[in-house]
Amino acid sequence: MNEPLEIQALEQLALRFRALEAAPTWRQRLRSRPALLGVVAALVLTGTAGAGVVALTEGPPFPDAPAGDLAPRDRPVPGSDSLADALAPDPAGGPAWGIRVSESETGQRCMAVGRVHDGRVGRIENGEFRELGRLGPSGCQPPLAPGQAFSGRVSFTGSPEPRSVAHGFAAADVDRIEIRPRRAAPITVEPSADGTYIAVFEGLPTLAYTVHFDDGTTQVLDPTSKEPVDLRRRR
Amino acid sequence: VGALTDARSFEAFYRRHAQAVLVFLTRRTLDPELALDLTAEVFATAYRQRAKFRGSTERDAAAWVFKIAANLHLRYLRRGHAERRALERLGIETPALTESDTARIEELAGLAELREQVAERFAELPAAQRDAVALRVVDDLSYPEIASRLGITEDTARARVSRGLRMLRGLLRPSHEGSAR
Repeated sequence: MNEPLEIQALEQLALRFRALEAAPTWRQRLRSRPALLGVVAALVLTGTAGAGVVALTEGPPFPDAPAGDLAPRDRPVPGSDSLADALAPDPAGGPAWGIRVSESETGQRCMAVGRVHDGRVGRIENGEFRELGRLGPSGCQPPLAPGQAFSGRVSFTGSPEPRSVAHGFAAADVDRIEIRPRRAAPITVEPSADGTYIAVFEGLPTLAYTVHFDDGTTQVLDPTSKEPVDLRRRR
Repeated sequence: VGALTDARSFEAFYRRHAQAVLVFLTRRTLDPELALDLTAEVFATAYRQRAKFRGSTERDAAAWVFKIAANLHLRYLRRGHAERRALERLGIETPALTESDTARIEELAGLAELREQVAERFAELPAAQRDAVALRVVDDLSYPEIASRLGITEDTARARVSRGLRMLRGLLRPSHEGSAR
């Protein structure tokens, strides 16, 4: 497992290069493994595929990054983690995506995204669920400041297929957030009761945000524009 | 390094050199966002051309990628915008920089100090060169426009900008060049 690069944008680029490895599509996998066709057919016939029931085996959890490699602001406090309310479906089906929220040693709010299985957040690799380590995969940010509309991060994963996962916290007066990839349909999410939101996109697009507030006003954040690119904004 | 030919080892190669290239370009452009755009294009170019890489050592590979970086920076200076041809061919979009990323890149590149030094050195340039450089770099005017504004020929405008930038260039040599993460 590669150690993440310190500059977040460089790490995101690394994942984009990794995605070039072109994980085979589901169609290609099915062609190359005829036995899977039978499994899919059975799932369809029994209706379990539509219900999102996927047989997963438990794989080894991902190891923690060495604690010394992380600054205190990026080290989640043991026992402070919980599964956030927000969940989002994967475009190809299977377990939902969710956010593991925790608090760092300096009071930052940390988020790690992945597929949710038995209330835990992890990755699915070759039919195995592997829980994320406590140290390493989280991104930590300050809690929302007074007047701050929302905080946003986009996590990228290239395995098994490239996904962009937009997630974060929204203020209490945010009604909904429209997240728009450059060349695909937008996804509109409503913040959950705990203020979290999450949306999952195929591929690795650049995302623009329109935040709709309860009072009918909106705020547009477009990282592709000439405006500042940080997703955190004060109203 | 034999193997830059598959994507996974290319990613490892990228991870070893990306930050050094970013610092290299930040010190040349004084602009982390632009430097990130150029860095992304550098590695996209390297990815597309990896089959042509003839070196055999890590040092060869680093030299190769820094050569691409220097060429793309030069092209940026000539054309006034960062090229995105390789990125577009690969369908890669450059990620947005967060405030903390920007601050860290500026720190790694020693940008605050560098900006001060450039400002000091800029102030020491002969007035004619300083005006020409300011019109070209700060106001982004073309050479014909600079010539017209200063009442000189286009060739003279080019010469003044060129000399002025040459005097500043020594400052923009990165101290972190070639270092890995």
